[in-house]
Amino acid sequence: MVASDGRSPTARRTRALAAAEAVVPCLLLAFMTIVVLVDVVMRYVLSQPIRGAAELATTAFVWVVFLGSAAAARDRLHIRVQLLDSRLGPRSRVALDAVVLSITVLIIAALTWLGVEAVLDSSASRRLPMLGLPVVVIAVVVPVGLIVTAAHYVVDIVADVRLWRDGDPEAIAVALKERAVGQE
Amino acid sequence: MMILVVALLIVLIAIGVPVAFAVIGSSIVYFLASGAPDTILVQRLTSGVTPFPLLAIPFFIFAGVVMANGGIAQRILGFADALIGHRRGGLAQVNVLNSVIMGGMTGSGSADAAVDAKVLVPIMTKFGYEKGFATALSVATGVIAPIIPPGIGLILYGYLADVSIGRLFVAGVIPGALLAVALGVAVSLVSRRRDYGAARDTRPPIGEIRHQARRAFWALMMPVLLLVGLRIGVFTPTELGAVAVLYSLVISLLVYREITWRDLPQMLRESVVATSVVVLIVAAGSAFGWIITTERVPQALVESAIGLSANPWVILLVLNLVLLVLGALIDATALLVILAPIMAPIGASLGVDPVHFGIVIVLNLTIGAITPPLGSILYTACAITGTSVEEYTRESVPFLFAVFIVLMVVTFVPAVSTTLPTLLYG
Repeated sequence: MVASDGRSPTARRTRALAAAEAVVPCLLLAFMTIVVLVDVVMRYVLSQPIRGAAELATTAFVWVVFLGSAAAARDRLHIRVQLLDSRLGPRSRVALDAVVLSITVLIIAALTWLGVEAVLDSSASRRLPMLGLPVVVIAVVVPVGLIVTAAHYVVDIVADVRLWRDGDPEAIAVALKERAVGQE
Repeated sequence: MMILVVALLIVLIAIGVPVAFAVIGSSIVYFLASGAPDTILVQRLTSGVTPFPLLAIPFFIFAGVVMANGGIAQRILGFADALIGHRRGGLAQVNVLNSVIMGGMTGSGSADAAVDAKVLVPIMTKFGYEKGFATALSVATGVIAPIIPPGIGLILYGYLADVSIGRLFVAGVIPGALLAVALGVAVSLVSRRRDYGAARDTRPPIGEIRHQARRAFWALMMPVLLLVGLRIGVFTPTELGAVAVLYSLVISLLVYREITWRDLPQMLRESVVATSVVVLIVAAGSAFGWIITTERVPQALVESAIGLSANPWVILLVLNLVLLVLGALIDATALLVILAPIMAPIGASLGVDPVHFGIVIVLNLTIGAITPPLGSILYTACAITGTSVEEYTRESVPFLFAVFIVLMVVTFVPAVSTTLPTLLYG
């Protein structure tokens, strides 16, 4: 796991990566807010609504959701139930985490496969009514966002397996604490 | 087939697979096993979140994040403390009131419970409250946010069941107030028994209250702006969300000056993540909803519900209990997306006012999210404060009892939900 002092080179690099990864969805969230606001102003002040404003904003929204999923996975913030965690010892918790994440990665893999199929499929030729953008612009973000999401989980699985194999209770405690920080 | 898919869903959620992926996973199994065209799954994932009304969700989350970081939340806390901090169990009462005001800005039960758990629980334990009690209260007050404007539950139900979101917003005000009162009473009773003290010795002088109110003025104007904006019909709820973002940014950056533009990237990131974790579940729920509809579950449910009894009140009571059980097993947001299109026709066939029915459903499912074994709000808060589920369960009894009473009142006294919308909208 990453050192938590925030000073080691690895930590700094990870933080830079985390920032870069979130840049696109952050800009898109700002963009959709501005589009809707400007549209309101144009409509009431100039009685001249922006053509396709809603389409632009909703397309950006889908991108925010699926790209944001990766950032959420990095911080382990996806909503989940921790019914078993408090009943298990530290080593079993790490093992359970690896199993649960593996199932999740498997689900994402299956979905990505279906997603690529869907992107290549019929939807590619359809276009959004107002902007004329191909619908594929929306669909393509599903596999993209989820593959990055899965990548974060794979990193955690590798860390889990190492922790479980070494069985060092102190290292496990540190790692679990870092995960708990992610819960905030 | 359907029973197996639902059982798989519950197992995946119970072992700790993130809810969104648990819902997607069981949908994939259905598609593979039934041979239904599997490209529909991906289509539903995106089309489930493209409707314009749902954009209100990221906007209100963004506005809430700005308010939490920009000094608006602290001012509200100060105001709440000045108003009721002198009462027995003062800090606990502040927790309740804070959830009402903050919930009136973010609309998310999980977000509100997370803020309470992070900010208030440490203070409460320092003042002698049991951690389990403080956590249970933070979770229980999370039921208020989704039901009062701009509750995410109301936005979703309104869109899915084709009911005016504006009317639902207004209709949620009194039920939200009832929840706050009921939880406040529960806090008083427990505080008396355990002899929890007040946060301050005496009621502060009126000048102090006025001072705190003036400090929090622009923050307190926010819900007013919401209701007025909706009532005069200048903005759709989505546009109102974008306006709320602008409003909170202007207040925090220019009036309170507690944040600068440099803080914006971090707040954007926080909003993106909070949006994604909620809306991904909406997207997954929309794919699962397609399955439910294809399997003709709605028709079967409607028929069995109506065949149950001739008395609509009996049917409503049974629906309440079924939804409470489901809500305790499956995530409230996913359930809402899956069930709202199914439930709305049932309500209509019973002759229940659609706005009243929507409030009942949203409140019902949200209570599920704070009920063990699998409620999502409770796990968010317990993970933050480090409280075990057993401890939570023990401490949550008086609060669960309080919100259940409110649920019964809201269910069986339609006027609680319908009076305000009728007054405002006619």
